[in-house]
Amino acid sequence: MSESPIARRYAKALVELCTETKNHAVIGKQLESFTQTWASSSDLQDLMKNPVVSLDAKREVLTKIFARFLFAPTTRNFLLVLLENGRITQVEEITRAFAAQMDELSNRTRATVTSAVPLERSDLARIQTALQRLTGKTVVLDARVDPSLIGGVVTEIGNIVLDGSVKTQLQSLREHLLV
Amino acid sequence: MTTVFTRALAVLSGAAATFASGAAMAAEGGGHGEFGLADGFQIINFVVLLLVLYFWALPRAKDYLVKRHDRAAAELVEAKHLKEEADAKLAEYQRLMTGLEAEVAKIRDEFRADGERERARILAEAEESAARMRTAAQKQIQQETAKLRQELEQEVVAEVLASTEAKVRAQLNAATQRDMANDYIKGLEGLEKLDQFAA
Repeated sequence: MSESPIARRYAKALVELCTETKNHAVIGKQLESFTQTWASSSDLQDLMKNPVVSLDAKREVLTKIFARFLFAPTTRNFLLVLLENGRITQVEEITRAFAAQMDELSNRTRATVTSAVPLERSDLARIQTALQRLTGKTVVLDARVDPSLIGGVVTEIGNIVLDGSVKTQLQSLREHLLV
Repeated sequence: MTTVFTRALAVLSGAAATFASGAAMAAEGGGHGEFGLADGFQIINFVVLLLVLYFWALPRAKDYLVKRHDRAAAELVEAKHLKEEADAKLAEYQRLMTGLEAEVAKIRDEFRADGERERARILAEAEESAARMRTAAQKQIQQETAKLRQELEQEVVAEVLASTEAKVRAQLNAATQRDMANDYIKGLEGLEKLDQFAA
């Protein structure tokens, strides 16, 4: 998913801050935590989007969340800046942009491996090794299970999809028969 | 004035002649008796009557007759004029009647030609419309046939795929899943570039 220029700009600013403090991993994880909370709480989203609720009240709610998660000052300040600039609703996009920029700086890339049944750890390790050899980067794997694939494995890395699922083969067969 | 005098002289001479003749008749003893004063008055009365008739009634009668003559003459002229006009109109009508037949024949011919043209146009339009309907019907039949064929093909394909999927699922177990994953990873390990991958 491509992030907007605004999200990339905020992410870049945060990356520069993290480069100085060298705590980008911590900030990244805290941002992820906040994003998960944000995504799972429609009440929080509604509150932050509501123009009737004052900025102070919104800030107070965020401060309580920060205290609960023990966020670092950089993370807290960054999220408060987003709130004051009216960009808190784009926090998910900004978090993705931050992760992408951090990955770029760390010569790291992310891949999603989806299979019909759970893969063994050794299989995931082989896939990770193969992908690292092919990309020349450190690959962070996100393993998922999707029974609708019927059988086989699908790997998504960047814009490339390596599809070895039975579901896609049946779909190809359908298209071939209907031509 | 001369005319009046002449008229009076004529009346008097007439009266004198009448008186003379009466006197003569009396003298000859041809009358009933002696010519008396009463006879004289009768004569005078008669003369006065003649004078009145001559000076008053005669001019008027004459004038009336002249006027009637003039009127009759004028009416004759008018009648002659009207007759001439009637003759001219009659001639005009006769001429028109002669031309009218030709005109009627011409109009009849034009109507007939128009009718023929209209008939030809309606026939052409009907043929064109029929051809259009025939083409549209053929096209619709073709489309319906193609649609039915496509639906049939989709149904057959869906059946085949459902059957295939059922068979595949029936044959899949932990070992086959493992083999498939292993084949996939081997394929990945054999790649030189990411975009070379083929399922």
